[in-house]
Amino acid sequence: MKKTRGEIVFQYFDVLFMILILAIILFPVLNVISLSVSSRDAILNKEVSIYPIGFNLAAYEDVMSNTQFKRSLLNNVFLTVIGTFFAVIVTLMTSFALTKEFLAKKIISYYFVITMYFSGGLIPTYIIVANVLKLRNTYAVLILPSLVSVFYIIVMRSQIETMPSSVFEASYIDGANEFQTVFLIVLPMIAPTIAAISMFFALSFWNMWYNVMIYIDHDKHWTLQYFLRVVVFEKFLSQYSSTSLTVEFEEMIPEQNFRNAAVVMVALPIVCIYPFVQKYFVKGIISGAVKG
Amino acid sequence: MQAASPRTTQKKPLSVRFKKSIPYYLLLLPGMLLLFLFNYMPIGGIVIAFKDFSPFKGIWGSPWVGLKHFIYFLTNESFWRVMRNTIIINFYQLIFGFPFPIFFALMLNEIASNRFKKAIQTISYLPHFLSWVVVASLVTNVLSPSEGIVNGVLERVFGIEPIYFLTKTEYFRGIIVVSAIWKNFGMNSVYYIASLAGIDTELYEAAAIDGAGRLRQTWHITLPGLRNIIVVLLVLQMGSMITIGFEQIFLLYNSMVYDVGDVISTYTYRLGIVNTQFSLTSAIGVTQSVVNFILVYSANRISRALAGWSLW
Repeated sequence: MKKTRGEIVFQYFDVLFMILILAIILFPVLNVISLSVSSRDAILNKEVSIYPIGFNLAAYEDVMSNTQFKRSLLNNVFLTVIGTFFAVIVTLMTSFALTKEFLAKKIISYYFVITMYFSGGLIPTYIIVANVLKLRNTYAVLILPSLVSVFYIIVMRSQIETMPSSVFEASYIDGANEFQTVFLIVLPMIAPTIAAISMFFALSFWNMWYNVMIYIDHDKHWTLQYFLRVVVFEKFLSQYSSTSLTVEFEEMIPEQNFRNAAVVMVALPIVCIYPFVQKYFVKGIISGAVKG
Repeated sequence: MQAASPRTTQKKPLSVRFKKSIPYYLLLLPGMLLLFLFNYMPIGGIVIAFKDFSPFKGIWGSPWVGLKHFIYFLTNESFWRVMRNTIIINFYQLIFGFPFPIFFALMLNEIASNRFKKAIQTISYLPHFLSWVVVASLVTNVLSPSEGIVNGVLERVFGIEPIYFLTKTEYFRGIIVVSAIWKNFGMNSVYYIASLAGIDTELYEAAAIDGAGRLRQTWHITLPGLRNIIVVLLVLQMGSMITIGFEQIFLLYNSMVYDVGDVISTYTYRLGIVNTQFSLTSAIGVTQSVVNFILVYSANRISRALAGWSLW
């Protein structure tokens, strides 16, 4: 098909538009990286934009040697691995069972689905978790409430439903019970879906900070995101409000470089991994839209 | 999730069916238990909205007070301030944030080089994967009065004194809307890009033979092809008009912009968790849930009528 003049002009305009979009997305990212490796003078003179001036890695050494950072990093890895592992197991067992026929299945299905539309809300949840279950200041409070996602159960269930029933029959004839069938037969067959759902859970565990803020009092259980929140924002906020810092943090009110190096370190694993996993997210979002 | 299909096979005695069901119950047990603890017990905990909850007396021991808390906040000026802020910020997000991913998807669709297209798409997803803590850090960096590049440019080029953007009531909502667009437009465009890929290319060829240029093709084929998904996402967004995610506002606001930036979720957090007004904030939460449910329900009805597609 021959292109008209207008179409060719439009093509150029379109490419320019996309380059502008790229610049808008990448600018703050390059900016924070540059700030984290630039000299303090250049930063205070507001010279740093998207390339470093007075390159040095001192801030990264500070972050890496910071005890609280190391502790939070360990917590993050621990929570992400353990949380994702159990979340996937619960999702798999639940979604497998819900593809089967059994007594009171309808009621149990509703039991799961209702939670997608109704919740207790912030405060009743807080009261139950903190006062009734008494889970404040435990790792459990950072893991258990996030293990069940009915949405992913539905996604995985529809995946299992596409498996031919002969697979299950063969498994039962070989004498496997339901548990063996789930983990030895179903699991390997829906590995791509498992991978995708693991990614969703891993991202939400890695990025967790809200539950740390409301349920955790001491820094032993901090996650990286919460560490970052304290490092980046408490200083900013304390200029304008009466937000009080713990004595320990008052002494080490971090400098700009430190804060930016911390931002980069916290975001780095995700920035490195996401190009390889984004297709799972896109698939998940689209299938979610189709399924509702 | 659909309910079980009716059992047409032979009905066995209840005890036999129960026995056969046991393995499935065991598989379901962990999930059901977790939902009971962290979803159903909090739903039951809503009763504290109708009580004067005190942590020492517990949920059952606290005295009933009926609708006292509801009447209190509904007649309270500060509640209506956060209600107004919530609706206004949502409204801005609807006007500016909603069309942008559609526009982006349409523009991306016209890019000729597939590799360039893929690259842009992948990069546009990046902000979605960053937590709000990271994104809010980027925002404070860029806008910082002492080190930020925006103030740097304003100072150098226009000779303007540094502006404390995040403490200015006139800029705050704009910053919230723009940073939300920055974080979400890439992922939100996914729905449209997928729908665009589903449009029959023969339609374009036929239109081209009939002499329709690209613009007319976009108007008559592409946009109608996106109509359903646009309607669905639009009504869904309207269904959450009185909800704003807590994280973004909480991380960016400060007491100087409460007048324009304090929303229901941040207000509930401060009043509830920080000031331990548990019953009052539960009452606010219940009201919000009820209004949300009504909005989602009506949005769903509208979606069914307009696009022939509904959530349930």
